[in-house]
Amino acid sequence: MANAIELKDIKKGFAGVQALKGVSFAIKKGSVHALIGENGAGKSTLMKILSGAQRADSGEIFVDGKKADIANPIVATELGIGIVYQELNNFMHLDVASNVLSHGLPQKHGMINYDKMYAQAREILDNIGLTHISEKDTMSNLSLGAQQMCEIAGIVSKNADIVILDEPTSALTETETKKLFEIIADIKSRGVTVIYISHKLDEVLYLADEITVLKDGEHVTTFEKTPQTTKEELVRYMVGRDVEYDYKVGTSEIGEVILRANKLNRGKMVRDVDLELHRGEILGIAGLEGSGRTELLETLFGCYRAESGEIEVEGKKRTIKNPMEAKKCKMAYITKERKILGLFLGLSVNSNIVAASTEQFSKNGMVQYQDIRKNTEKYVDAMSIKISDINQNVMDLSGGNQQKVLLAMWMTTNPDIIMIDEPTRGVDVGAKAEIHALLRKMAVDGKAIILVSSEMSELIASCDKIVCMFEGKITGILDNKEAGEESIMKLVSGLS
Amino acid sequence: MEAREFTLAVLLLAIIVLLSVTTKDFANPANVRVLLLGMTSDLIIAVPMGISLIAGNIDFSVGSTMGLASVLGGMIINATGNAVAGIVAALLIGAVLGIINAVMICHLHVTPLVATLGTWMAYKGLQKVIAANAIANFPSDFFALGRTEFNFFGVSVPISIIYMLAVFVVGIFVLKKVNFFHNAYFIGSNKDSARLAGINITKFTYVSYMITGILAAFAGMVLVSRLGTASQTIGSGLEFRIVVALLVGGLSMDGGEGSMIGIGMGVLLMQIISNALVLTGINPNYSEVIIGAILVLSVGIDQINKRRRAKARA
Repeated sequence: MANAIELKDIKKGFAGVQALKGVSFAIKKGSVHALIGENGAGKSTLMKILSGAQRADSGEIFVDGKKADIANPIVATELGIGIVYQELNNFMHLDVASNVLSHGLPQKHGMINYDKMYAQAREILDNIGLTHISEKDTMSNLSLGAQQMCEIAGIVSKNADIVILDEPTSALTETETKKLFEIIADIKSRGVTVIYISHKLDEVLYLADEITVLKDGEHVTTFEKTPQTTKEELVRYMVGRDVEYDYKVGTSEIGEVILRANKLNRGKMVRDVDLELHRGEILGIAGLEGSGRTELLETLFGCYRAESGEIEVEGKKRTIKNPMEAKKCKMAYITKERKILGLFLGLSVNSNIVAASTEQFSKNGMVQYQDIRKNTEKYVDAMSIKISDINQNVMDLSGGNQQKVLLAMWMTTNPDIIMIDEPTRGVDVGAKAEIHALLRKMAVDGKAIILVSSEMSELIASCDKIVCMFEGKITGILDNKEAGEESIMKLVSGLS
Repeated sequence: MEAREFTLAVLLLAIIVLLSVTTKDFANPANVRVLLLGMTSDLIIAVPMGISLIAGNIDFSVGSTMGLASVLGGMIINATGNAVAGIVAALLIGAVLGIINAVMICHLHVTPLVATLGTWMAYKGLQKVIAANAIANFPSDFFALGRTEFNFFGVSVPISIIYMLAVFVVGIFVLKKVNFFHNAYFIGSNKDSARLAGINITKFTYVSYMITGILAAFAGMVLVSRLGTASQTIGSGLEFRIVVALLVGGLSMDGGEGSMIGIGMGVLLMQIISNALVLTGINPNYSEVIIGAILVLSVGIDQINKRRRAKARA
């Protein structure tokens, strides 16, 4: 069978992080090709390169045997490549028909032919069995799953030869997922090649003809799925060779319980979560994207209010309605979205470090600039934050130094409970080790830490206990001694 | 001093020197008096409005708030015969009008621009209805509010200018020194980060709109006292002039940047330009052309600088 796509030595880097380190493999024409790997393995980046959303730094792509330069999404469309991204890309305010046909509304004498547009959209929806969706409904009235299905319908109707589906089922209900599988079987029978990205290994085993595994931006293997292929096998490939941490952070004395959550619930992302956190402990949370790990932290910190359940801090029941109250409970939340939700990029290092403690640094309501500067200098020194001077804009710092500034901002509030999400994402190796050592030092000082990370090696190296989450629920709690990448991967994939 | 303020200061100085040399009237004490008196309302309102905008909250309704509150204040003075009661009532009304903006922004989640555009029109309409006939014939003690003159070393200074300077100095102080107002920078720089940092955004929004409303009403009452009538046109068009002054002065529509000195210089520059056109005998309608050009140029140059910096980083 000929190859629909052939990739040769594709490389792509972002600001210091090498997302793809020379990936080569081929995708057979008319097959369903599954692409799997841990978070950050490079799957989405690779697909964005195929769809023209991003350009590779180097390497060659062959589409249908011909070398292609996919400079932008228009070129990709001309080559017959269609993609449905993980995040919805709808025109929310427009109707379903306009969305489904957004690649080209039917026209007559240069004018939009609405009758034809609605008729065509109806036909497309009916063809793939979405009879319950009205072509005239506004997109935003539809459920997330229905929106996703409309997007898929739009791509399919473009008569794309190659359809890329990036985590298509994350917003779908079970019925919708079944429908999607029928659609995939249908277009495959018409000779369309499907590239299917998913964390859900059941789906992969059900759908795929061939499976490619990526890890840390490298191609691990591509193999044909046989009836003998098991989920355990896939997990082993995804975890792959062990990346050893060349340091081992010690442990600290575990004290009394400081934070307890009982049957915490919020939407689909936090379900019946029971949690216990001790002083002196670093509690890791493992989970794939969409497992609810970030949402759990946000709920504990009051960004969103829990729908039910209780939170106890130092044995006392507390209602945490907003971050202001969380701060009063001596909690700190260091978000992974440090540029969007954490830092004040336009402000100086000095301003950022004091941002969460302005009241503490004012006397009778007056800002105490002297004390603020002293505090900043203390942290810049202690954490070796590399800056030209404290009035430098945070925007101009490297990822690692930005992370340290955000840490300093919250350490200034002198919290007892520190919740930190992906502390080393986009941070170079040296700064990574420093941040881990810093976290352990805080634990030794009697603080309690919850660490969320996609990197299992990071969790294993630095946590006392690892809580595994899948679809908003805790699927298991592993002790540091018994935790391995495979045992974690099983729990976070929902296999037990 | 920020680069923007420095540029503005140099520009102001250059214009002042140029006008003092080329026109015989610019440096004339009488002209200086007219010039400063002409910017009192603008600056008194620009100070709280600027603080609000640094937090990312534009208030477009100030001109109408000023008009409506002062017209109502004037009515109350004439109804009660008590100037103090009318002034206090006007300030309270200003506070309420400001709070209405905050309610819409905080609780109905209407964006500040849309919310205050709405109240801008609504308040203006009410003002026109109420002041269909200009309100005048105030009791004489009311005129003390706007017509008092102080003698400083032989120079007679109108009280409006004292008000303006007082508000400006307090503005410099609170924005720099008082924690509550200083938080404007955090809120404007990144509202989400500010929320996560536990800064009370709702409280700030309420207080800043309320104070803007109060000072707009105050500026209105001072103006009415000076003019002797409360009419339909009080405060008309003032919001545009101030927004332009704030942007020229280094604030951004997104918030997060700017300073009180910049605000002061922005308002002063606007005023000097209109004054210069009168003095040089150019058709005063050109002032709008020039002000518009200055606005676009100053913000445009800022954007170019920001991009250059971003590029240098990458």
